[in-house]
Amino acid sequence: MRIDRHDLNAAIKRSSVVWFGIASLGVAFGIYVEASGLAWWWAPTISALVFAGSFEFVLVQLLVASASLGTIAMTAALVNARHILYAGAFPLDRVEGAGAKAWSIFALTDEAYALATSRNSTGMSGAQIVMVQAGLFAAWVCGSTAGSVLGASAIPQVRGAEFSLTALFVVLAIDASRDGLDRFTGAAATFTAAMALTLAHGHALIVAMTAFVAVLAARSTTRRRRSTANG
Amino acid sequence: MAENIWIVQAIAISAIVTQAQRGLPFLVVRRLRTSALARDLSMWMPAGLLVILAVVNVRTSLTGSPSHIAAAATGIGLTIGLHLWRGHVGLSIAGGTVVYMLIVNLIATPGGNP
Repeated sequence: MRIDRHDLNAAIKRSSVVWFGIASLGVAFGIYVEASGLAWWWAPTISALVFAGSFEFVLVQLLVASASLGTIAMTAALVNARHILYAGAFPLDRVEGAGAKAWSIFALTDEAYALATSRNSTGMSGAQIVMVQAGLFAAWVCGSTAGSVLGASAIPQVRGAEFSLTALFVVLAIDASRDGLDRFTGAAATFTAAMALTLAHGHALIVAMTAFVAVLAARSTTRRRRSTANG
Repeated sequence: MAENIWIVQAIAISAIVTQAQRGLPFLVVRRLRTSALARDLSMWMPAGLLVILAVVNVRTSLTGSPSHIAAAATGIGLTIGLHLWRGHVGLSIAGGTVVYMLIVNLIATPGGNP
């Protein structure tokens, strides 16, 4: 794919703050790998091959605990199951070429999904999406490497840059709610998230998203039944 | 080394499961695009999923020592305030994060997220 300067600038402008947050979370992951007693190069290896932020911390825990491969597969399925829903809205049709599409799917993290489906992303070209994801990937792998090579002792103790990811989701949620999020959907999302945090704190994301989609499916069915009855 | 081979297997299984969940749904979506349910979901779901990501991340960041919770609450409040005021994504994120980092590194005691 040809790299267009305009696309590159737009991608940097759109997501460099997020790259920064991902890199610092990557450093935290690298430090965690090193502190777990694994060789340093497992951190970039895991980050490059699995590329699933929060699950990678869980994976290292499972490795240290010598969990069975079956347990690891089940945990990966549970922690990452929310990705199943992302196919419904991620604008893969804008990404041109089989190789670029495959890359986009490989790098479909929470942050990539959020950046590519937010209100400001309607003018985002396929090339920009691919570059935003490449930046997320590079930041995550470089951060992991730096963290595991240098270790906790050598990293200057500046904490908290990963807060930018929380801020990102807050900002995009505000944009979404200003831009045609109807009251029912907003309330259902907030309510299922609150319920999931209370009932299943460790797996809040997947529990909340499953419950949310179930509510939407019920709403869609009732609505169609009603319109058939009326018509 | 036997241990390394086992770690490679664990990474391979994790990668396959993760990528299957990212990729396979696109095959189904293409076929379902005409159904009324899929149309409704594609209209309501994206914004709702962002709200869920936000609520869960905010709640997770509001943990640890009282001073850390105060730092996170300040950062989140500032992010929301900046965004309602100026509506500039980068400014809102950077403003909230910088203030959060200042508080966490200079004032608050540790005990928050890793």
